[in-house]
Amino acid sequence: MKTKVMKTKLKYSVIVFTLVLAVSSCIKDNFDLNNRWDREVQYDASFAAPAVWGDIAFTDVIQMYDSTGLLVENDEGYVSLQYKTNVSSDTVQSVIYLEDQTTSGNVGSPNFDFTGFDSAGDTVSYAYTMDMPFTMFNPDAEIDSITLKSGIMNIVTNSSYLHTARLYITFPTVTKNGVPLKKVFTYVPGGGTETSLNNDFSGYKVDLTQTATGFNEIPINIRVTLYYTSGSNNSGNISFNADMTNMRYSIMHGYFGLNTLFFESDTIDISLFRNKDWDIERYSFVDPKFRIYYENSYGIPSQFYFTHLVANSAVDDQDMNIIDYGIGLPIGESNPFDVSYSMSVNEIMLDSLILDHNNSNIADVVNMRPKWIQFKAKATTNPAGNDHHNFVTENSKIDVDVIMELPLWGYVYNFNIRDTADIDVSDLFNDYNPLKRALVRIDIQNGFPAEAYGQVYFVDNNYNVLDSLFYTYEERVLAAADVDGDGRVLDYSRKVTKIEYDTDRLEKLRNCTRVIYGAQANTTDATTDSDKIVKIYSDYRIKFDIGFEVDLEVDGNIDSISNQF
Amino acid sequence: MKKYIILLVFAGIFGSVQAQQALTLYNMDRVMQSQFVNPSIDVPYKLHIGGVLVPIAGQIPPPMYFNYANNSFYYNHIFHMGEGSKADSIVLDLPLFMSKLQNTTHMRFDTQIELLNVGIKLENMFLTFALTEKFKYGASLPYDLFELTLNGNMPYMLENKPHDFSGLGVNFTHYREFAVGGSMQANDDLTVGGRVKILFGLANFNTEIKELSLYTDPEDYSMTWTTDMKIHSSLPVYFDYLVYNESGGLDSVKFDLSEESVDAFLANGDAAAVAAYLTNLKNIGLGFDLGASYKLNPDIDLFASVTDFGFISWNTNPQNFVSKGEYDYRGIQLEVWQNDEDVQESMNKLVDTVFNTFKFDLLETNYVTWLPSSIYVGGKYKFHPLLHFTALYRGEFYRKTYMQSFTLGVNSNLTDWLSAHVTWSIANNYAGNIGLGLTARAGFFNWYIVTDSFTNALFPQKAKNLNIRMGCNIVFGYKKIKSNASMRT
Repeated sequence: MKTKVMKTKLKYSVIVFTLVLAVSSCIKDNFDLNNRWDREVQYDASFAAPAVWGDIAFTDVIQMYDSTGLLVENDEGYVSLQYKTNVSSDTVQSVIYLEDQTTSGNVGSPNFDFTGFDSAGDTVSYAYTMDMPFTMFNPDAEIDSITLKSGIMNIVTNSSYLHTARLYITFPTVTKNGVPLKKVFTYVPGGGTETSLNNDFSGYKVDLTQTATGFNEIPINIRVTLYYTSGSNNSGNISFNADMTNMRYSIMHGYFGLNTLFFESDTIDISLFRNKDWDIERYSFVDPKFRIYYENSYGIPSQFYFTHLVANSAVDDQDMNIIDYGIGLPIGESNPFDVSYSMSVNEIMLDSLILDHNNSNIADVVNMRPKWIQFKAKATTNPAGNDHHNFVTENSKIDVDVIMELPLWGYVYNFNIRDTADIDVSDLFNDYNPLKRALVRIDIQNGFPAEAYGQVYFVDNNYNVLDSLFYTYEERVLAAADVDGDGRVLDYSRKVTKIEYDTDRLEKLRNCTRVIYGAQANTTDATTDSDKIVKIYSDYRIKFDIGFEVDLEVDGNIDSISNQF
Repeated sequence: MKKYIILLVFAGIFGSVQAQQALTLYNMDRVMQSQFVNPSIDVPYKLHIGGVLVPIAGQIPPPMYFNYANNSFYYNHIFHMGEGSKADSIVLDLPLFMSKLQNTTHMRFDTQIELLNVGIKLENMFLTFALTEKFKYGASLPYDLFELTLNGNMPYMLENKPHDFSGLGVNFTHYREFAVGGSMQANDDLTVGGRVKILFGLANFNTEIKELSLYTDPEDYSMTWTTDMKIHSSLPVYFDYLVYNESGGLDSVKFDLSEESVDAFLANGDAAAVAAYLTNLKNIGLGFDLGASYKLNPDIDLFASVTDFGFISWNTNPQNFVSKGEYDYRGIQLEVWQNDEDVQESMNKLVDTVFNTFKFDLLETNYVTWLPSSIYVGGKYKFHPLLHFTALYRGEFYRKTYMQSFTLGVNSNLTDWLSAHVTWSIANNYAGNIGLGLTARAGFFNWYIVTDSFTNALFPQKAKNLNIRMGCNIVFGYKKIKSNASMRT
């Protein structure tokens, strides 16, 4: 009986032990990922997401291709592309300037009457006036007045009289606040040197018309007084030397003679036509303009003209002179342009000369696709001769803007761009490429008066076409926005394109090493009606949203998949 | 400092007792702790003393409770043994995993340490008071988060519905509960009981997400992100959160523990810092448990209870990170870029826009968290004085989800000193929960151990729920409760 109980207990113990062992073994197996997981993963997901979007103005697109051109809204409200350069006169102080001036004098004993000059308290005096000539920047210049902004005057004197002496030097037409410039020098008996150095000339007005000549001179009043000291030796001499240096004027009046304000060469780069990435079969700018804008603050009659004005074609590298149509446009040396000039101080005169398709060959020049326009310009003063109404200020300047303006009014036919780029698609064809389908959705709202055609070809090393991005004409074309009779866009055109790549289509790209992409564009109806012209306004925009769908599928060993990436 | 915080967190996770999910405990009327889930339960001792502060009995074993619950999946829903040629291998089964996910997957941990627990039987009343350290923490993951990750956004896009991530959340709460309770017989058939609990919050970190969604437009694939969420924290230390927005753009964001607050916390040494943390009385809360038992007839008792109806107001270093906004992502904006700087500027603009839309604003205001309240409704059929059958329904409100369970139990007070309990529960959307409970009294010592998930412990690979409660009470004055059930043999 006891043995039976023991056997039963043993049996149950074995069963329990086996169960516990089985359970614990089962648990261990379930969590033994390191050794038992087959490491196979299956993942299947589909994602859709927006990629990029844009809302780009037509003007931005133009600037993308042509960063040097300046886009401006013209008087008629649409946009012009301008290529601009500037020539200006040298600083006025380098053309019309004040030279250093100097003068000297001497008062000797013969100038005095010493009768009765023999006791203390006796004096004798001598006075006279001399004219100090001004050397000018131009021999023809006849200066009437100068208001000095700065300048230094030095006077050095010497006396050899044995008496006490006094020298008075007065510049009656050199005044400041109405007070003439005057210097007095006193000498002890036996004489010596007296100086007055570094006298500040700033703020002095100099009248150069008060001499007999009437210009370029100022009078100087000299007076010497001797005070009897001792003895009978009256011999002696007083000499002086006056220098005016580093003078700069704030205003100067008179006649300044014939001067060259500038004579400069410059080049306008027309990068629109220099770009080699694209080509245009035919185009027309309805109203190109060559503008010259003057800004003149000289108070001098002036002339401006080109000695050289040539455009060079990007098509055949030929030069073409820009000329008028024989109607006497003032652009050449034989017929210079009289630039308006200031009649009063601080007045700035604006003037302009515009060459357009009516008065010049500028339209022909533009149609030859000019890559640059080169010119040499000269500006001169006083073409009519002596006239004492000239003036300059320290800031006088003549600025000339030379602008090649292309108002965006016209048409473009077959603007085309084409290029090739290397591409590596090997990742798409590894053993665990997860991409099973891709769809690109392109939503474009075209507010440009231009239709476009695009295409991308996928080619192999030998340029054999493996596939193209678009299969149908409808896919390729982006319709232009409609325009009214005046060439203005009425509304956006919209197009949604979906390009789908499944595994079969992806397979076509297996040997792809390059993509050839190209695009064509025409302005609205340029293909069917060559006279259909459009105008580009600054509010023209193109909007686009590009998104994608992808189906991803991963099925394989996680370690192998990880190694692939 | 960080070391102590980590220690505290680990102490909370691995060293505690008592939980709100007490499906087997509910009918263990020889254990004073059953009053935690129904304050009206009549415990057959005149005096109980328990808790870790009680010498010897409080440590053998320590009165602790640990509960892990996952309402969606268990391990074998992700990895399981294969079939056929793969019978010896573990396979990753994502489709099965997805099929098991609920709207929101709540992964919850609940640990409690019973510090002191005293019960005294008076003439017609049973009075208790208890001091318990409680840690509740977990994470919630919305179905749509897995849906987006594993299936992508296209399935929902084609159905024109958004991915709703509002179920996303994390929470951690450490608080101390001081409960005073009483039960009394209202009449011959009805017993009522209740507990008032003063709560002392010690640390809290939780998210409050009203809206967090992603909608993909099927027309153009544009993605609309919408947020309306708050992250609250009330900790012994606080975070430095500074956004440098120079010239209107995002420059940098600083988010880190404030060194200043850490230094201040540790100014008087580590021990003082821990003491200060554990004796913090600034975060006061209030809670209630209510229960009733009704003798329908001599054979059938009915009972119902509501537990943990209450809140805590957090006032220690409160920080609220608030984000509310909507952003329509259309992709990267292509512009006419002239150089790399333009591209960078464009990217920065995108980052700035996204950041400024969703950036968190920091508020420092007090906030309130609610306890996850539970309701229990059940009945007991006294088939035999030594064999009672029970049924119990439990419902719980937890982070916008109403979670339910149903339990059938067999209970037997085998002897005056030994009782055993077996339950089968449908809980956490799983019907394989077999629970066991055992109490054994030797002299003044009354040991108990109970779990709702005995089989889950044996097969953790299939466990959505693991819990265990154990401890030892010192008991005096056993009074045998006479069963009215007639013999059915």
